[in-house]
Amino acid sequence: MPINQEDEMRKLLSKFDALGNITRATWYEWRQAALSFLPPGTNPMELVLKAWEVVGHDTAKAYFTALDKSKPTFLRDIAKCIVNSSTMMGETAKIVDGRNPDEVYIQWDRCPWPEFARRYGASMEEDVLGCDKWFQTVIADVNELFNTKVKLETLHAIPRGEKVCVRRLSIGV
Amino acid sequence: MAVNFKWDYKPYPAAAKYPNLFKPIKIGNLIIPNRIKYAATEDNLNTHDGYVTDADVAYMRERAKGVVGGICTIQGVYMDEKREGQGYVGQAAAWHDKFIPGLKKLADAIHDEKAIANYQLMHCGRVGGVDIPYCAGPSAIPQRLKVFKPVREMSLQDIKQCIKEHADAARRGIEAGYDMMEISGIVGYLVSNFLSKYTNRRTDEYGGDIYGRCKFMTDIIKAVRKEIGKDVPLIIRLCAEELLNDVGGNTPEESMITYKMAEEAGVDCISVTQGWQESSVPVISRDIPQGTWLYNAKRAKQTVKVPISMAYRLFLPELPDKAIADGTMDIWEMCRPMIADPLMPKKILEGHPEDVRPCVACNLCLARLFRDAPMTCYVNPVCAHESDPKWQITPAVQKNKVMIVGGGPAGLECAYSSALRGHEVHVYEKNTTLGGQISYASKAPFGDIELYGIINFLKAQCDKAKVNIHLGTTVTPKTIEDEMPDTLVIATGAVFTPPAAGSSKGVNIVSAPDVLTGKVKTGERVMIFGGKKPGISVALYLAEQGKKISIVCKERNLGKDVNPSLIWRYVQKLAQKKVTVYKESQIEEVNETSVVVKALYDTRISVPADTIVFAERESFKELMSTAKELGIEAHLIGDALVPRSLSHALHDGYRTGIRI
Repeated sequence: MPINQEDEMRKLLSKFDALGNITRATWYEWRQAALSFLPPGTNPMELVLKAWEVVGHDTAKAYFTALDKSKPTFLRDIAKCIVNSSTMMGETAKIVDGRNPDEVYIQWDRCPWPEFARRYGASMEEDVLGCDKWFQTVIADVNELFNTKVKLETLHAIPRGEKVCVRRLSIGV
Repeated sequence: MAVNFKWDYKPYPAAAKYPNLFKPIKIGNLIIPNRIKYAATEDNLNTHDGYVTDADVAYMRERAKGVVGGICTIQGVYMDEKREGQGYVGQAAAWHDKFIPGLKKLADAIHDEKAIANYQLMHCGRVGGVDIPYCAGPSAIPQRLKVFKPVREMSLQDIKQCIKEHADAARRGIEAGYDMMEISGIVGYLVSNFLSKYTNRRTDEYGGDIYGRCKFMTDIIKAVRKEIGKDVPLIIRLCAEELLNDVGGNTPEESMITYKMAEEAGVDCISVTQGWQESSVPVISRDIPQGTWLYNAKRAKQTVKVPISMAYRLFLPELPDKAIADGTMDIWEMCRPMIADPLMPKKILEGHPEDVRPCVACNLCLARLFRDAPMTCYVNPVCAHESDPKWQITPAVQKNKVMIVGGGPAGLECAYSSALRGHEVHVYEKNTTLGGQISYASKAPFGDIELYGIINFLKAQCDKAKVNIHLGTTVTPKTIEDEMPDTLVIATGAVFTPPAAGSSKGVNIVSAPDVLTGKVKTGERVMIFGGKKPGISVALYLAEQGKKISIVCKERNLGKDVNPSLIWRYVQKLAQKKVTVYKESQIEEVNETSVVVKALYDTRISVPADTIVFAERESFKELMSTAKELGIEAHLIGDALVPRSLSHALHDGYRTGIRI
């Protein structure tokens, strides 16, 4: 019996979307569980930043094998890795060229994370700084391994009420 | 000038055939009778706190026998009590005098075989700290490979201590009776970490430019030299080419500066290597042609005056003999070929190359070491069991008539080992040639032709052991009843099974062996059913012909039966050939011009295909019931028992052969 390829794709996307949502829900549920074991008054931000740092180190390891310092596309390839990580998690992200080869921008037009932060009572700033910690950790590890001076700056953030997230990646000598 | 043992190779056949291999060379003040060196190889056979075991002594004794008077190097010893330098759980230690008696046993075993005992100092650096939560290095550079520990930056005091530990360990080596000393500075171990600008970002006297980065190495060379005196030859192993361009490693020119600096600091010989464990390009796997790296030996010879030795894909004597004659290198160094056959050079010398059990460059030995397992060899069942009488071929108590069904690797291995024990052995092969599944497996590209070497070896051993071979003979229950052997060994190999999804007129369904042997042709869009080695082989074989290939496999990952140190090569090549892989998937339906694949998440994908090649195998146990009915002792071995790898076939065959 011929299969309906469009239908198969739609069902797959639906499952993928659900998987992303389960991952986000699990993140905030673990956050709740971890906070319940910490002394009252503990700032959740400390826990969250530490957790994103741990994630960042692991993400960096995955990027290490995808990057090649000797290639002129090194900076853009980092941006590609970040865009891939983001789209895998159900975000909409793209690379925007910079004014010169030493900079590149990543723009997120959609991000489902703030909605989950709201649902689980986490602050929006936790989302911004958590995400930033993740990327900064990745970039720090990339710089350590490749002996480079890549810099990442967060310019806009959806959880802060802005329309898009924008991060600038640049490389120094 | 010192000569430890006298050897006269003239009476041996290969002395004339390979005159360059069997002529002496002077290293420092020592004359080495030939140009053969067994390279330092970890084996994980020692106790986990560094004491040498009888198993390791027996392992080394065999290799010492093999070098026929040449250099036999023990595994690198770690030198610090904190175990930062320990890279392997069974690595020998030399951080205290209490280890000297064990190290002496190794030296004595080597001397018993009239070989030169070489002692290696090896701090594993960023590959170390195997039993502690961290490892040590010049700078705390993150690890690319998850298997290794986080790196802790060494202080100046740590560096001074480490240099002293090298000298102290060297002194223990001399006290243990070694003739030569070697420093390991390769593949990601500590000395190489200091040399490389990838891992050394220090700004003090031990970092900076290549000369600064050499200081740790030259300090060690000088400290060791001071300890061992001028008469003990000192070797260093150094990377001629790190192959770390992607992370900003040393240039080949910088590597040659390290050679010059080592020579100036006082080494008497340099062993050339290339690549690190972290290199993302292949160096020693089967897909790298033999002799590929000789150009690095040549560069080294042009750079320094001391003798140059080299291992790395030099498995046969012709290449090194010629390379020595050409002035490309001076000493043939090897490790894996002598893991596969410890007596390899001896057999060459004695004019019996057909008796050499060939290494197939699969890197199972390395894969085991990195997973804290004792050394083993894919093709040599006795490797690391040299001290165990249960693993040796001994005369049979009762001489039996042994009938072996199947002339593949399992059957032939079992045949010659049981024949050597005195049994009357008959091998029945339904085809007109021997080799079984290796006959087609060796047709796959990227070096798999080397797999057939093991069949040539087994054929020669069967001939010598007077095994009776019956080609073109299919064994039925009646054949067994007519022959009535005392022992029946079923080594028929596995049976290839087509997918259960049915067939269609438009899609041709053929088996992997038929494709690889050229019996059938495929179309241009081919789906391979099966992601183990046969599936990978046929996929690459067809992809090389420019066909559009997809693989459907039930497993979570490709190559479940390929060892971890080799599978990455196949995965990389499949990706390069743009082979599509559907993991954890099934063929659900075969249509006129396409195949429906049921993939992950229960998704159905229609994949255009004109041919399905089935590469899934099942065991073959049919003749077992006949043996049972007739009351004959029967053994089911190799893929006939469970479809696995060539290694399992050989190991099954040998273990059965020595027990019948």
